[in-house]
Amino acid sequence: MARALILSLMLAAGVAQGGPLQALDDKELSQVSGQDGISFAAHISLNDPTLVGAVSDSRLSLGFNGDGQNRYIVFKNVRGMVDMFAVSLGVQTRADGGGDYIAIGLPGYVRYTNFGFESLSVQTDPNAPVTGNLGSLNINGTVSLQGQVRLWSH
Amino acid sequence: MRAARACLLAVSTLSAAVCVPAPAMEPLTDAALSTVRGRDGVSFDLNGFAMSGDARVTYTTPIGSSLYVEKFSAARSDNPLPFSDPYKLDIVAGAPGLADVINIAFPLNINADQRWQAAYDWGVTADGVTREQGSVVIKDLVFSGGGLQFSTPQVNDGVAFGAALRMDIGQLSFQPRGRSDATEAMVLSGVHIGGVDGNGVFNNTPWMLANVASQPAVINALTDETGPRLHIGIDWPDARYGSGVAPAGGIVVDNISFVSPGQATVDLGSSRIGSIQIQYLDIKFKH
Repeated sequence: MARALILSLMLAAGVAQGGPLQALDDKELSQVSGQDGISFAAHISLNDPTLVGAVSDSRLSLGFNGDGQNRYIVFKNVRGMVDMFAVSLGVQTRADGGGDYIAIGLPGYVRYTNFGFESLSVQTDPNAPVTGNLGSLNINGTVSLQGQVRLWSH
Repeated sequence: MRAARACLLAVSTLSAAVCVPAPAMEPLTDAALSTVRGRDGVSFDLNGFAMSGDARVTYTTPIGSSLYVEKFSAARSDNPLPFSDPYKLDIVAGAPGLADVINIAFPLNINADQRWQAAYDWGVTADGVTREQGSVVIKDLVFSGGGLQFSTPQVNDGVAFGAALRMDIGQLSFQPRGRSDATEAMVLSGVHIGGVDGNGVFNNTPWMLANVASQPAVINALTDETGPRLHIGIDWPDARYGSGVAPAGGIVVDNISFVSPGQATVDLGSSRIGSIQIQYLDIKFKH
């Protein structure tokens, strides 16, 4: 226990040697710059039927009520893979002095593999077998994006 | 145990002495409080946007025939003054008695700086035969004002929405030989859609196709005599929240022509629909 106390005191002393924290005004703070952005890549696999234990009948349902009845728009087996490289996220300062903005860099590479859903239907029971199927949607291939989406408050 | 507590207390005391305490909160007078300005909306815009690729989006009917769109490419030029004319998203109060509204206002784009260029290929497959239909090429697409609204419907569940559109297209061409070969094409030059005055003349305003209060559009699921259906509709104009008259819009195509190698250009001239009102729309999807 004594050793733990000594260690704690040494750590505290180290903090004290660094000098007290000082408040920065807005002007000083705006001069601070750093590596403050992040980038991320993603590999997303949804309901892959080739995997062990895969669910063969998953449902994404949107419910609507009216006239005393419930109705559901049902997407069956929303599935597929998306590979994305890379989205960047950072905060930049506007050149016109209007403040800061969030800059989202769009991914240069996005690959869709059998991404979509198997059926779209409207039913009174979201778990019942699909009736009145309106069709399926599928996306395959690559998309290359460039540029930014910028967001700021007004 | 007692020794451990003593150590913890000692360290806590020392840490408290080293750290600079945050200043206490201060009350604001009414005058000071009145100068506080909240920023309650979000502006957003694209910068240097472009996209391309070979991705194919396929819609397949329940009987197996399909429609595809592929190799979509698009690019947009920017306003020379970034941040000056963005898209704006706000939550605004609805009309009396109605829910609040998510409002997305498009850039006014007065100088038409924000121009879109786009192209895609498309085709159909049926009975085992795929028919490539060529390319659609859009040049100088400009949106000026207008926007979207989203809210809850006045009756039943669903998504109520409004939309206003003012759009000009420099050239819209359908090219069976592909986007890079315009020697054979149906070309619509100068396509204009927007609001019009009582004489059917464009008045430089967006055409309000639907409004969440005065003439709401809705997406939901309804039940008719044969079962539940996906439903998209626009309601009758509601005089409680507006004039009771559907807004008028116009569509003008400056020139329609056909070109083909070795043939004289077939020039069909212009086309104009002076005034259109959508009084009511009711679409239900069935199979």
